[in-house]
Amino acid sequence: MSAASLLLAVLFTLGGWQTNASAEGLFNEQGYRIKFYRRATPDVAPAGRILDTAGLQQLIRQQSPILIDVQAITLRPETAEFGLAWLPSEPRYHIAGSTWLPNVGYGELQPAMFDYLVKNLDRLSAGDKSRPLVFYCVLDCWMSWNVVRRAAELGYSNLYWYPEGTDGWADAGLELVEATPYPLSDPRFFTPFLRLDLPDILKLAKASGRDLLLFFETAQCPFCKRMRNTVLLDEHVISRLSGDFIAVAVDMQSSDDMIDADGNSVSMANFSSRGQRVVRTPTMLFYDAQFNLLHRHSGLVATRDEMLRLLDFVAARAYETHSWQSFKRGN
Amino acid sequence: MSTRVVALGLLGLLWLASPQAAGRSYDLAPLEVATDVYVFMGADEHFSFANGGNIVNTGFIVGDDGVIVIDSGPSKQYGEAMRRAISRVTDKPLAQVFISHFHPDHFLGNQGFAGTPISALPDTVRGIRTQGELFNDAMYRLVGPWMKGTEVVVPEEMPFRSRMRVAGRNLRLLELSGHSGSDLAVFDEKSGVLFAADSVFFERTPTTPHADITQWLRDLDVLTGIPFRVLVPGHGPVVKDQRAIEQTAAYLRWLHDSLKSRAQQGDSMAEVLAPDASGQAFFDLAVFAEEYRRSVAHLYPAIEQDALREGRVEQSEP
Repeated sequence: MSAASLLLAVLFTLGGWQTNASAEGLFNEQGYRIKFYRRATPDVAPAGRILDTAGLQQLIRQQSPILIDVQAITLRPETAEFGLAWLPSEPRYHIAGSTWLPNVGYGELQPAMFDYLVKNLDRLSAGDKSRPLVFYCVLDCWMSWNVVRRAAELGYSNLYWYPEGTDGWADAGLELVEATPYPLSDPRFFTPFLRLDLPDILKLAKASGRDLLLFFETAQCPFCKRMRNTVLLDEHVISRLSGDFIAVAVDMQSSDDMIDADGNSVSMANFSSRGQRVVRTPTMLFYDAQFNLLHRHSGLVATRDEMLRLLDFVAARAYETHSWQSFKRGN
Repeated sequence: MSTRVVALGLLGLLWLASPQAAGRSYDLAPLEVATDVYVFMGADEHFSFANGGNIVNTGFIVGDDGVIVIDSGPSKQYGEAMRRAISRVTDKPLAQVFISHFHPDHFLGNQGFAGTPISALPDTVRGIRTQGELFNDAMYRLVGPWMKGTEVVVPEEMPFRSRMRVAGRNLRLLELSGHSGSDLAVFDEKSGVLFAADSVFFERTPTTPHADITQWLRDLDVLTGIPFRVLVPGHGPVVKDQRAIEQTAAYLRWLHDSLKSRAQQGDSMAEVLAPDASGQAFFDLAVFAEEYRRSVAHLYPAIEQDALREGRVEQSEP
């Protein structure tokens, strides 16, 4: 008898008379709950320890555990036009300080969702598998039960299950805060566009009050590669960038079509060399939403600090009063 | 509305001091509609986190030596609250629970009546067996934690008999089918109370997800012939005359005729979502706008097909 069927035998004798939940098919062979996720849950955790509300409050006070909300929402599948995206249908309120990883509590996970869980657990625990992790969703919800089980299989050793979830927390009169699902892919330096359509991108820049950064590169340029593998991946740089700039990469050798700021169709190569007179790589050109050139930066930016400084230089319009060289030195 | 706001609102119900989930309990007060016959009135609303699914009328009859229960409500907690409320009225044992039909607000409280025979017509039992779990899922989505611990308990099949003696009461049973395909109504001869369940709605727009309107109108003719003194509709206030039956029939007739004539005019489903002014008399019924739109979704495709088959659709101007 497998663990799952044993569990079922226990569950379905509890009522004392026959219930309808067709016992077969509730769990898969690995023992994960795969349907009727909103039903009464067992009194014991599938791994680690079970917490009631007082227990969770105490744990939060004493050990600052990592709180993970796994309440499910609609996931829009990836298509040619639209990327994978969370589509929350109504606001969700959860325990302050939690990370919301929706849908990782399904009994069977697509590879992308499994990855999302693994990467986020790794990120949140900073690679330390003994960090205390608390999983919850809402009352009578098997999704958190599933994730505790899965985290144990992934090697996490300090696991807690809070089966009452946000309902139990709210019932105790404790505060819930508005939640946002953690993004499916990490934010990136360059905004992906299907096609480089400058009038469209400038419209977006205007609407969101941001400037435009064009990053000119070629496939062979070693400094471009170095920047892409270092400063352009840096989370501080990305978070500094995203509020003030839309960044787009332009391949100087590509014959691919793009739309220039005047609405003409040109090749990227012609746009770079004839249009913007770029000769060196990498070159970063900063424009405002009307496509006025704000600042031209040629050559390598080697460090996070220098890149942050450069973004500040443009965003604060410091080029009006300073040279880049003096601003960089902190004058 | 935030969960917190809902939770705070529900704290107001704490006076019931229910041993159930803190801050969330049904306020079930039995209304005596005839001697020894009681009704728990639900709200004239849709399922919501605020009402916990308590939108339905359930009831009970205190017989000579036991209690007869009609429908068990939308959740385990509701069934348990019903049972406690009944025990405050009488110490007679529970004799029998009847489930009128397979819609979730009428049977998901069955766990509250463990140890008592729970019976329903064969097609109702079949419906609960095949769709009960889906209804339970849907109710969890609609009312969340109010469903705590709710499992589907399938009633026993009750071969249809038109008369039954239970707990010393002579009951007349009616096997109807227009509302859901299998609809039980229970008439208690001594008190003259007719538990019509969802075959009759009053001041609350009827629901039609499994309705056969022609059959439903025939059912209402049958109910008109029952010599009741009090009629308990499935939703809406209790009445002592024919008004509830007449209103339900009038609404169903209007709904059917208006959808049919609009299909014949070639109206699309999107156009039909705005109700015809001929239905003005019904616009003030509780939840009219929502139920009317749901009914269009339930009924219009088939009505449209019929109209097309009969070749009676007028050509619209290009």
